[in-house]
Amino acid sequence: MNMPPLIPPFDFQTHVLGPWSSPEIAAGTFWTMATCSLVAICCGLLGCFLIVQGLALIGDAISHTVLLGIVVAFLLTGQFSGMAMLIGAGLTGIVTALLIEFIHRSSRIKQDAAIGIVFTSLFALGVILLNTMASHQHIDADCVLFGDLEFAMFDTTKIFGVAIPRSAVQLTLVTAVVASVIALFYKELLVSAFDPQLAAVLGLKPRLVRYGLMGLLSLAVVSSFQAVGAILVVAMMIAPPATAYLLTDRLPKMLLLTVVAGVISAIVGVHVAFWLNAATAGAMVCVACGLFTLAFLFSPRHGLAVGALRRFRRDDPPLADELSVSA
Amino acid sequence: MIPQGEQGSADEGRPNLPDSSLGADRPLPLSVRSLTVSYDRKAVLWNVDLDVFAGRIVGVVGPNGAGKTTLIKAIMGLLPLQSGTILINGKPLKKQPGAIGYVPQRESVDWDFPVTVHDVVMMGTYGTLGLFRRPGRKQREICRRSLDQVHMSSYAHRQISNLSGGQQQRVFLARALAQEADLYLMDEPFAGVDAATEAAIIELLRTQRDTGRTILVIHHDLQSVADYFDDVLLLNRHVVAYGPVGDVFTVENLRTTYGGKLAVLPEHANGET
Amino acid sequence: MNAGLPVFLSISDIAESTGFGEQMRRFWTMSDPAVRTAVAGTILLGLTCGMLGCFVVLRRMSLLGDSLGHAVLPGVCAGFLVTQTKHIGWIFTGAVLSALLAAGVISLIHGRTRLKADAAMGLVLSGFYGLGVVMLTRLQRLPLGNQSGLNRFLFGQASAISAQELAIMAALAGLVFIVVLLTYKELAATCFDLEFATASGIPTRAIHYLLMLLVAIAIVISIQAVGIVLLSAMLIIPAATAHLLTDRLKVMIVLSMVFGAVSGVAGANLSFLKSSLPTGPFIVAVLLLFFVLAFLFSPRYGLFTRLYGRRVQRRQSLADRIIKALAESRSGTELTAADLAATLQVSQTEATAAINMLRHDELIEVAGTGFRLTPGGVEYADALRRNERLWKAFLEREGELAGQLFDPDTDDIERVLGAEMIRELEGGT
Repeated sequence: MNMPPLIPPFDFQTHVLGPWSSPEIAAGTFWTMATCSLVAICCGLLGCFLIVQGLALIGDAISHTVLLGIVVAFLLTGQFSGMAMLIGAGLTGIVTALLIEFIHRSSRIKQDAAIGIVFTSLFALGVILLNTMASHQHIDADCVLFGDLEFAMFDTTKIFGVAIPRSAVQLTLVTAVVASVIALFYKELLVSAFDPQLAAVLGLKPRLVRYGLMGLLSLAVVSSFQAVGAILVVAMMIAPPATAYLLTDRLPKMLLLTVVAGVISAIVGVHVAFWLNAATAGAMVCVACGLFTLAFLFSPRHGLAVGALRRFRRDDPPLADELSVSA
Repeated sequence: MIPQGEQGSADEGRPNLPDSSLGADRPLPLSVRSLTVSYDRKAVLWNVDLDVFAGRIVGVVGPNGAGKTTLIKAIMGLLPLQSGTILINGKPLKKQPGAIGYVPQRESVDWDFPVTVHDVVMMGTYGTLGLFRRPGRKQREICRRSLDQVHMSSYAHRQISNLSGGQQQRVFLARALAQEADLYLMDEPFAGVDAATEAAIIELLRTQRDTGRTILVIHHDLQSVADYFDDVLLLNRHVVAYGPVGDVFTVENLRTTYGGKLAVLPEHANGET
Repeated sequence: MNAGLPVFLSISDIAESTGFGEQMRRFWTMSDPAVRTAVAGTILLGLTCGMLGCFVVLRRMSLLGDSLGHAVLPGVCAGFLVTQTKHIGWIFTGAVLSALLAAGVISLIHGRTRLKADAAMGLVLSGFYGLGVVMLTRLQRLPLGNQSGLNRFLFGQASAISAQELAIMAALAGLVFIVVLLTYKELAATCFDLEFATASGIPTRAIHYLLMLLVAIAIVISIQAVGIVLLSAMLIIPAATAHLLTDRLKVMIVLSMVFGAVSGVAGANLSFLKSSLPTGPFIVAVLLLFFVLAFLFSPRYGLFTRLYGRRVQRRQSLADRIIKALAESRSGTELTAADLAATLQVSQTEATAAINMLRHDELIEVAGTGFRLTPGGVEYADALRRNERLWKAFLEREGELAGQLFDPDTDDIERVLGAEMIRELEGGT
């Protein structure tokens, strides 16, 4: 069989400058990048709070279960967009987190199994409802799993005479909400994540904070999955924060680095997708994971290669010297 | 029904105290009545009655699984009670968040969390700050003072995983100090810390006590009980004995607490029999 | 991107939509060979996943199963690339290798960085899946013709299992059964106490990777019928349901296999009833039904069972305290309901409920404005005192070792402590 090379030769002119060659093409590229960056920013910011407290897989669960919320919202209102969908998704996220905690607290089922049970069940119910009662709509489970960035870019709305993709508008709003919530409730989020018992003693309502975080996360997921799909949302929730976590010891810096890593993944990912003629969201995730691998190997403090080098040279003063390590 | 030490303290669940330490009208910092807490329908704490007086350091001593941590968590309102009441300064804790300063076991938090020593101590002030308010000059001052008191000022900007066990414990103490509470609950503050830190901590607890604060400390090392504490609570699911160390910390009571199998008895325990 | 491709192809796509009864008859008589293969396939995967799921759930690796499930995608694509056809052998090999690689990367990230296990799993899950999506879309945009069939590995398609694939699935399932039978002792030991197993010379690391390999094979068996996303349900839900019903590993494994197989067939049947109904989600829905029933009504670990027990216990413990309070009060000063509520610091309603219960049991009676113990009540109070004394004696005697046995709210101290212990305690006090 005569097939083109699996990996086409890379050409700077075509693959890097090509997407910006004419105003129309450039506008398309710009909005694709903007949408992907916004996905990376809003998911990444929330992802930071998930991975520092070991909740990454609850994020995974929520990214699947929002489907049920969307379908139920559709059955109630007949709409697949707008407020109804956001509210439906937000509530589902909170319900998911509550159910997981409920199952694991009130039975002998461990938390990991509880997560697995809740997310597969709710997702399955969502798919069944979608197939039996809400069929023939512009949404299918495919879209939830994969996203449909190309389609999302065509679905535009005019703002001040400029055609802007709807999902970019929605993502801008959600990112703004996420960023301001983090700014306003930073101390509550911080204490609840670090030491929930202290938060409870201080009267900071760690459970409320946690469910609020889950609700926000669902908003971010539902706004993002049209563009990148549920499973790749998970990647943007975990990969950039994990990269940042290996590079810094401060939460504020970690949030900042997450944004940087996310935006780089989006920009490079769009070009890689163009080069390979493959799905943009997938390429973005691959770049994000590539960045993580770099941090994993070369992070100044926690990198694997750096650690090996340090052990090899043995001339670094070990940190433990200045510490009185107790028995 | 109230468990008493072999010495037979007079009042129900109250230690024999010098009269001077009894504040006339002030409500007790901590008063627990017939507290029963169960996990999975089995009682972990059973009919606990306890009155703690202001300005005392109380050691909570008992075998593993005796319910010591459960007691502290119940006092902090983190557990559902099967029965009983707990009053802090005469009122339920719910009406006065932040009334308890809390030093958890070191393992209870993730020391890889991306925060610095200063950030952790600052958390102690969050309870009084209120929504949307950010820590300001006053909070930074409290934070600085608390760090000074535990001699950790020079480590303020270090990430918390780069600390020794003793230093981590001091950070928790500083955070509790920053809470500026009247009642402190500490879960094994001496576990896994070096001797210097241990001495520094007990010194600090004494200065705090002398300013009228009340401190409840879960403790494992029977040898140092007599030196460190004013009162001791011997706990094994129920209160075996409670009162001033001199009266209560006896070989007989320790046997009753730890079962007949207590091998090593502390030298300082009173009433050799 | 994948517009026009059916999402969850189902058995009913090959069956005309006829009446409900007709469809049921067609399904259960199994005259249609496609139905037979689908049923055999779902039973096989239900049995395999049900069995392995027990080890996975007990070892708290539930989500590792999920991660590996997603991580097979690049392997499937790579396997496809080898021959550029849907040659099932290569695709299965690719899937197993890619799942094992994922397991290795997860332990590498978790072991070598300060990232927690969940972040490592999430990262590998979504990273591998992302790579798979890039490969899949790249393949779909190449002029190869028949690559669209790859989608069934993503979404599951029980009806499309061919006789040849069924044979491979059966062989793999057989292999898994044999390996589990041979290594049962080691698998069970690592499930319950990893450290002890290591200490007693079991190669726990090897066993861990063996289990990973078995899970990867189970994933490969299941992927055609249930699809990637819902795959972990087949591992987790039957085992978790069985875990709510029994404390014995062997019983748990058998129950779990039964749940897996029954749900497989029931799900296939449900999806058969109406056209365009997916198979995988229905299997999960049936599994969920079993789980919910066990979660609520399991004789020992069910929620209702436990909630009811807790309520009874609360009321009983209040009633006991009322008896004690009455027993301690001097005769002639009968306590009223209000007095009792105040002494015991409970609400008047609670106190009244407990008092009514005690009056019904004829342990207390009205005396003047208040209540006093009946002769039966006095006896009961004595028994309470005795129990309390015994429990204290037990604590004194056993100290730290009192641990698991200590249960002062039990109504049968003899059963809990044993008659001999009671005699000793009574002798001692």
